[in-house]
Amino acid sequence: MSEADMHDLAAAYAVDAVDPDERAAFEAHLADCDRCRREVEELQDLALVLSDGLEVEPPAQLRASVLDLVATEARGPETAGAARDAAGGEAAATGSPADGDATATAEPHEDGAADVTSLDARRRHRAPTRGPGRWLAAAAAAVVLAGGVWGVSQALNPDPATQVIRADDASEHTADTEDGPVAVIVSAAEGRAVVQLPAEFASPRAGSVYQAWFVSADGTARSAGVLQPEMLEERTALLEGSPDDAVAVGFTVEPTGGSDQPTTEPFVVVPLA
Amino acid sequence: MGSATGAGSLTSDASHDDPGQARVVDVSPSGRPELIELIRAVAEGDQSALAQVYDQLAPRVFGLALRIVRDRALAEEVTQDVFLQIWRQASEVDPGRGSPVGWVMTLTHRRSVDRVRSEQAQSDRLHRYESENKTPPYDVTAEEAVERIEAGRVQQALDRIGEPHRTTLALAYFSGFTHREVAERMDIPLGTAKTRIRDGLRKLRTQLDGGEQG
Ligand SMILES: [Zn+2]
Repeated sequence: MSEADMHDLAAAYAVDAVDPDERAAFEAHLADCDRCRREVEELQDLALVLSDGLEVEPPAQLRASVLDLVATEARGPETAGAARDAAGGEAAATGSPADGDATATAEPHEDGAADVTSLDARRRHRAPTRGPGRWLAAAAAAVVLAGGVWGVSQALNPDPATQVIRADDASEHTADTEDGPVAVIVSAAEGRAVVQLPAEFASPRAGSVYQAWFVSADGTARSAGVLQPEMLEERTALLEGSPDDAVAVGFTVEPTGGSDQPTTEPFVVVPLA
Repeated sequence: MGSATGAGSLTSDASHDDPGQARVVDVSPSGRPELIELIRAVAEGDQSALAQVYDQLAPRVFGLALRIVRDRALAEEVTQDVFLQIWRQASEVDPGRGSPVGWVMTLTHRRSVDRVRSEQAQSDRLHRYESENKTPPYDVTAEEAVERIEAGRVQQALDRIGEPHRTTLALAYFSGFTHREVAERMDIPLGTAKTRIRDGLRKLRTQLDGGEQG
């Protein structure tokens, strides 16, 4: 992007109307451009009026929840586990393996992938952090502050499924089922595919599972993994393996544990063409 | 349905190729003294100060978040995130910027937009048909988006800046669209969208300067 184009992004940046790449590029530019820094400050100050008059009283328990989390952080790592249990309790119950992976990936960035991880997953990983004093040292390493501008940039490190969904080359393919559309999102750049299920997708009968298959042009099927219960719950699953030359993704009902090859007719096939 | 680009290209590299510069500054007692004092105390690790900041700003934070994410549970998450961020980053508030309200609302806006976009990436592709209470913002037309912005000061401020700036700013600020998406939806060139966002914001000042509240 040219220097002039960069200057032009100031207004869009000021109201967060930029995509993540633009945000990162512009923040790098801000470090060296007083003119943009001043403009962003000016425009962000002006935008302040837009949130004036919108006040809504949050639910009362939110205050306690925020203060609990803060108290947990302030106590530091040694008591974090107990505090977490006291504050949340549901963390372990609702945190799926997918959440765990995502947050583990995001760990070095702390606040980074916050928008793609569940609150509970973040809470688990945030617990053993530092109070403001020690945060400063970490902030110096992890937080990019655009000089003089309120916006604190956030490192972006989404979980693999989100990376696929938001990849530049992501393409979406859908097929209808009785329960609504099943979507497969493919990114060749990422070499992965993600399936998204309708909200009311029926669970498989006891003793059986849904299994995904990459189907090649010659009709052969390659397992793309069993859809685990938590995937059905979250309605999003990163398929196993690369879509490569697959021309479709099929879904079958298989015995618990899955099969090497499909043993039933697919109940839905999503063409990738 | 077809291609699914445009909602933002989020790459894992984005986090690594911007070294940037961290800046840690002290808070000076300019701007609104009370809040600035509280933020300074928060920076020192004072939890009761954070509670007071919460009491002062939570309705505004929650209100803006709600307007953008349009879902109470999500707005609560955003609010919680924002106050955790205040707790962690209070030391970084820039003394040259007057009231920290600006800092807090900027955090709130960004967090809300990020949230609505990530939610979008999931939900938009999935349940387009579910539009009872929570219509994903990317599905709405420009007119609908603007109509959702109800009465109140903001509405008035937006109304007074006139079209096309009103719609442009509403789409960018409240619906979480990128300037690219705003341009697509309004069928205007990219450069025009950026210009209208800037001019729209500046018209807000004209309103404020000339308005009854001074
Ligand atoms: Zn510049």
